[in-house]
Amino acid sequence: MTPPAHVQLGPRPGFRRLRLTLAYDGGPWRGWQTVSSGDAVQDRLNAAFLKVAGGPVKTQGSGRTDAGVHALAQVAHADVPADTTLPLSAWRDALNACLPASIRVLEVAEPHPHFHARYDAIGKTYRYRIWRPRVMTPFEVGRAWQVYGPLDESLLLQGATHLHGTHNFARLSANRGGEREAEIRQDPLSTTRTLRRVSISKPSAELLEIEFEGTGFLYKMVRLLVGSLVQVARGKLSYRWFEDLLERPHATPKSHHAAPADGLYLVEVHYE
Amino acid sequence: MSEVTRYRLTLAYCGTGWQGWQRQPQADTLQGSLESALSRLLKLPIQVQGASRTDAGVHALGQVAHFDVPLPLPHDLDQLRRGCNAILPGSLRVLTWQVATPDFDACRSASGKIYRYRIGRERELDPFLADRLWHLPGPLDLHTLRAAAALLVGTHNFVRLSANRGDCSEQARRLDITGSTRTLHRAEVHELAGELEILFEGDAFLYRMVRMMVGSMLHVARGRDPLGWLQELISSPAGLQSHQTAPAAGLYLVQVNYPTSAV
Repeated sequence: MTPPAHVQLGPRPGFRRLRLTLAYDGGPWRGWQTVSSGDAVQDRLNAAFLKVAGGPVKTQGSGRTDAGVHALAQVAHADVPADTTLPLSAWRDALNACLPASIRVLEVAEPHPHFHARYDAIGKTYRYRIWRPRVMTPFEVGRAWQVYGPLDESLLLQGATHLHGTHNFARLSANRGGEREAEIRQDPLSTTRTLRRVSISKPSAELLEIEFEGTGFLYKMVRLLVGSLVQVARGKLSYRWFEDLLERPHATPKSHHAAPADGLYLVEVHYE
Repeated sequence: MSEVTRYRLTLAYCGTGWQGWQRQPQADTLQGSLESALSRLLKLPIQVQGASRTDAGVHALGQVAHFDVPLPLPHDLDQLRRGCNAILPGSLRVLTWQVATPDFDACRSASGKIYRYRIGRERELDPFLADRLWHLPGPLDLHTLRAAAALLVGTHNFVRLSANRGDCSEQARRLDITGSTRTLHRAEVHELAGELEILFEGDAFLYRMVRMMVGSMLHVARGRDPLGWLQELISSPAGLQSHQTAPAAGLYLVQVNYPTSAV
């Protein structure tokens, strides 16, 4: 992703940059990005840094995840005072000791000094988990979407094949609210993304997983792709309707069939 | 003529956030929540009796409960099961709803129970398993753990590997030897990916018995005391109770067994 011209990419003088890999259960949190109530994953990470580094530390994630969305390997960078005596190997345990158990730092590394978690990312992998049986197990509540009943998997597969490649996802993404819809649609490139892989698997008799690997994802894009495809596979809407969303990106309406946040996992962030 | 019909439910729950099975005023308990859901569904005051009074934070894959209704229910039982699940929070599910014989008692008719205890062995705690296992990444001796498991199998006085629920004096509890003697049929240690699982099957379990057995087994397997210390706990019932109790989060009530005649 290309940074806007005014963004300072490297750490400020007197700071050194750390690269973090994090896993979190999104259930208790209001998403990745810091919120005024302090209930976002980033808020807890910042609070942990404040304790460990003894002063405020600026953190930057590879991208936002919505409230309730999980991460198996979110990537972030943090600029810590260069004179902090803590050795690199001690950061992970020190941060984990200050974090709630639903947020874990998996790795702390020292990257190239100009490494930027957001702008250096060249792609991401997301997984969506669907629970198929009639009774939702209490152990998967908030961690998968229950879709019970007939589901035409050949239509899911057809959709997955169709999605592979470069498309304008204007009707399969949501407007975050900063810009007017008409303005967003004026620039087709701003809503065009490439999906390198869309695969469907059944890791167990109860679960169906859809994995998306792409160059970048628009706001709510994975949830809208999954929700829309499930509508088609359930026979509620036609495959033609789905095709039209991709083929005529300037038409209206957009799909509003977003799958719940519960089933979504950020699996990996890709860098060069 | 008053005709009472007895029903039997199988339940699964994630114990996180619940204050245990047993009904208490002003507390989120599984029994209380189930009773209010059934009462609302059937428009009758319902009281349920569970097979096991699981502690706060303990999970269940197959808890069993029974309750009585003054008249046979006209509805399709599966429809009632779904209706009840629609009222209950997602962390508690009714898996089956069946008609039971009038003398079936979820607790007294039980001939045995199976519990599973999960121990996380990965260096970092998986955030998705934080309240579902005991995270214990340090060194432990698997041979000693297996020897400890083997030692507990059989009929023993488990008074030192169980706690006093508070319904009698400790002195009275110590005198009731029959009351604290139980038979453990199986205690097996299984190695899974990043985890250890200890499976217990017994005729009945005392209060906190599984958690105290696991805590004490791990105490020995981590080399804090010799195996003889554990042996002593079951062979000399007069001493102090074990001071080792494993956390509730790792414990799962897997199954309650009944003799075929009771079903």
